[in-house]
Amino acid sequence: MQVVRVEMEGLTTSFRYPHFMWGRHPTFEMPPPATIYGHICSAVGEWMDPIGLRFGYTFTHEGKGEDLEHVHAISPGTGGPLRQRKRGVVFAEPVNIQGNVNPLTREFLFRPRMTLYVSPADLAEYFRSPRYPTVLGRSQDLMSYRRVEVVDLERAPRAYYEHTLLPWEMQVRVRRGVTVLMPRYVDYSRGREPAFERYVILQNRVVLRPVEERQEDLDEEERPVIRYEDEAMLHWVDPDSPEYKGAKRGVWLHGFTE
Amino acid sequence: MLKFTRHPFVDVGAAAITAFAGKSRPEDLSRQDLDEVADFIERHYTRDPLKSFLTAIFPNSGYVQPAMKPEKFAAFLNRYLYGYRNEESVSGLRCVYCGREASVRVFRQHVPMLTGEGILNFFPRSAPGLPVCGFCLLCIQAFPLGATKSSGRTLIIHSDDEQVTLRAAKNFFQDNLKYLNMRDITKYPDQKYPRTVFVDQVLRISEDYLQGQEHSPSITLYHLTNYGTTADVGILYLPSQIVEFLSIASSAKFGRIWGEIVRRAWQKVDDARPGVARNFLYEDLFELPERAARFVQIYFLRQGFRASARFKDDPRSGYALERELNLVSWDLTAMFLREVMEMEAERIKAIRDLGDRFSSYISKTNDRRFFRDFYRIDKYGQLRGLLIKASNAEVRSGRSPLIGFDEFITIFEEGEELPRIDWRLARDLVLIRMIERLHQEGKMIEELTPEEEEVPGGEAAEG
Ligand SMILES: [Zn+2]
Repeated sequence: MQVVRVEMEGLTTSFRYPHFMWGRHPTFEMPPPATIYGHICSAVGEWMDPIGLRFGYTFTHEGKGEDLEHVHAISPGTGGPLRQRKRGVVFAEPVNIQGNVNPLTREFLFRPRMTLYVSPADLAEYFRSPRYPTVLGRSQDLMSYRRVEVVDLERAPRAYYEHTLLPWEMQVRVRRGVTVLMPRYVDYSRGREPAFERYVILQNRVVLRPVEERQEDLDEEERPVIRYEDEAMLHWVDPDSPEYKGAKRGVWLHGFTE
Repeated sequence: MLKFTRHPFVDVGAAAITAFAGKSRPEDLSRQDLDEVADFIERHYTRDPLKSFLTAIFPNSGYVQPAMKPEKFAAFLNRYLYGYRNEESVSGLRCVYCGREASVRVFRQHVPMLTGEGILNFFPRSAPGLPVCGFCLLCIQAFPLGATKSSGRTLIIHSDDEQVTLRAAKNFFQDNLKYLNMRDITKYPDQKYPRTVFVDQVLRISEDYLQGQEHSPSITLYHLTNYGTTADVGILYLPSQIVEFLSIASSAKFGRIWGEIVRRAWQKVDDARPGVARNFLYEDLFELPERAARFVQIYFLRQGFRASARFKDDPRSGYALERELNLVSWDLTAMFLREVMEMEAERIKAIRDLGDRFSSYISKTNDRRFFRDFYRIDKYGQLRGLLIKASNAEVRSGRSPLIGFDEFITIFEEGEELPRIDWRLARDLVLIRMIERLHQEGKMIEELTPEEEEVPGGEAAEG
């Protein structure tokens, strides 16, 4: 399967939990699918139909920090001229929006690096010449594309996964990681209506392979911790990734809506 | 009517209501159950001890505003607590939690951590407020019933396994009922040390539920305050591999030793129980796998830990191998390596075999010096020198070398799958197996261990 593979890096990034708006903005450890959707659309230059669009990634960072961020908390104005004196100034203009500056704690990730896989592969030209500034996270979190290639993912009976996002259903197979509820897709045609989905954030490497007879002979205790699939399962793997225990790196291709 | 939505506030609220009604799933709740819990909330949220607790969850809400006029308060309750009875709807918008038709837009006084009334930021189309339905809103109003107070904040436990969310909320709800039934209590009791409270709950749930499960869920703690300018949320994850480790460690096979290791990790105070004291082992779990080498050294090899001045009551400073030989368990350590550190079975076996060979060697030759040196070494070159020297001596005596080249590489150098593994950790692991074997054979480890003044490895000292 042909996909675009985009290697990118940046200095900082931050992925807000959408329902924690005030006081602290914690960050997810990895970009939510809705963020990736926005990223792809920014390269293309328009809101794309999410149907048929697929992505996978590996994402790492070098640490988490926190910062005080000024939020201009805005609210509807009166619509009339602002009569009251503020520091000796009277504004004659009608006030439609007014605001106050508030400090919030914002968590951020340092030195993010991502290898993003996107299908269909004919989007490659947009990543070679993105329409809008390349950011990941906040608008100030600039990213640099280091390499854009079209690669052929291969099907393999074994694969390893690491530093990636898996569908929650895979939790019973990898038996590792942290479950998070993430924005999966934000529908701009319906007033930015959000859809959420559960995912597993998997940091450490997990090898998935079919059960081998050799393992069945082992005591329960000596068996590797991963419960392998009973039935054969084919993985998409990146043929250019380093080999580990006879496996290449798996690329889990997520959809945004289906 | 009610269901789990996978959002922590709604789910913990649904779980608390389920516990309140004595049912086993939110789907089983009847309209009457909802009316009863809403009535309970109306009666208890406006007076202590809950009222003082709620100012940090729903500040500026009707529950905690003494100045609110009765008719305004009634309207508040009708809209935000009894909203599930109304036909109200926000045209065309769906509840962000469950997808049903939304009935009202809510702000920070109704749902913690949202923005204050009228603020446009973070909402689409310049329309302030989060659209929610009456049922989810009832759950959110009820979530403090399934929460506890910790260090002045609200603490809830949420999991992708609904049973875990239910059981944690039920435990906290039963505590809350006890407080409400105490006549002389005005202040909601505060449980210190959220991490300790968290792991204590997980272990309680482990005993009667998790241990029977095929695989372990991931469990999350939310520790929040919605109060004034200090609003803040802390999120702590126990990944499924740590939950799995805790379940196995407290199962029958390891229960006795593990229980004792846990017992000796309690803060040294008069009343050492969760909520009053911290358990250092519980809290150190959150630094895994990053600080696994230190964890092994302190809890499995029983190495004294030079406590920082902050914690005078840190029990770990009193750990001493010579006195705690019966707590040194290779099997428990190996399980930790497998579950938490993801060490390959082949490598664990190689370490165990080397520990066996070294302990036989010491048994046979009574080479106390070898044991002492191996224990004390703190430079990699010394380790290699020591092993080469002892191997040569064996070969000169017509026996096979103590350690082969490939084995040495496998155990002390091969860190491909886990760069965290350093040679000190490998040494500590070999030691754990050696000590267990020598102790079983009745060898006097006390004579073999070095003098007190040296802290082997030096790793344990907190910088
Ligand atoms: Zn709802």
